[in-house]
Amino acid sequence: MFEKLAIKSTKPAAAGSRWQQIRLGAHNVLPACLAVIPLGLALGVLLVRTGLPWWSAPLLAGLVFAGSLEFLLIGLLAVAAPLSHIALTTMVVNFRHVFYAISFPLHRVRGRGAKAYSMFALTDEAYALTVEAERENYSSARILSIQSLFHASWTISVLAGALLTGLIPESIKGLDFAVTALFTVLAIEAYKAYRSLPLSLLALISAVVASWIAPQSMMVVAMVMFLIGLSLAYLLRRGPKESEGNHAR
Amino acid sequence: MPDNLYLFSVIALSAALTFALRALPFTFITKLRSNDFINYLAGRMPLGIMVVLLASTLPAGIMDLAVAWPVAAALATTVGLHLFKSNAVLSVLGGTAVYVGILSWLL
Repeated sequence: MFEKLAIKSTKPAAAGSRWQQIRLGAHNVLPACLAVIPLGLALGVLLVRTGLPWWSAPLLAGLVFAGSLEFLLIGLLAVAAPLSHIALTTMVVNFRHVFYAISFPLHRVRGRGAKAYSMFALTDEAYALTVEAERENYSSARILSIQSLFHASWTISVLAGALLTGLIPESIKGLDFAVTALFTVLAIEAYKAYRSLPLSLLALISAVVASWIAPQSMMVVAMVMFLIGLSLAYLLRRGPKESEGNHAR
Repeated sequence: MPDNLYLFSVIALSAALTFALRALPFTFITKLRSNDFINYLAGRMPLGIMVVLLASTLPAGIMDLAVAWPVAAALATTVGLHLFKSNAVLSVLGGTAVYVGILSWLL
């Protein structure tokens, strides 16, 4: 009952504060929405130039909603790859998302439908933009605002790219750096939240080694290496005796 | 040109698997919220994941100086802007403008 009220209430007071929460979320997500516009346009253009119908652009962007996978899927669709190959690629490229549940604040999202949407829209950017949720006490409306506005920005950008293919000049190069810049900003913010140089170095070394030994699936290999390093750090810090005690508890 | 049934199947399959990867861990993570090790990871993972994601978006051949210097200049712009102005939109647009400028007109 309370959950329903939190989501659906149209009382002026509640609506007013909820509107404020949505605006706070919009403020959080604006840089990410802008950063993915060039990438979304590029995906839409690529999709149409590959020979896929324009209407598949919003379906792909809106339903799969995982940018790097969508670029790979266009290449696989073009060669009519078997569904088993599609499934394997999806599992490998998006496997990193299984780690996001550990720190994503899903318990703050109210309502079953809203929780389902929040899990569906748990992109890299959504994960990054809710890092402060616990400390800053983000509301359900604020988290959903971040996720849905990002979803809208991505889907509309891809659709626009598909519809405006002929109008987008090929001479402008390097717009895809916007996503690198976005993750740079998000890494700085994550560093401000947890200032640790050894942790940054562990992640950097994991990334370098992973791109060397497994260039095709660098992201997931790097994340697994980083997790193994973190686990070792945890065991060494606690010492074997205490960690046994924790398992018993 | 692939037929529509194939197209729908690929999108549906990929969407379903992505949703499963994102949603299934939550079914057992709620039970582990009080676990000391999970809390240790939860606090430390975002920083590492952002660093990995950042590294994964760097262009291929980054060890080549000709590829690396425009990236280094653009990264320095983004970091510098962000440390001094703390405005994420400005940092993203500023760094991207430097990178596009170098690639489109200088190279």
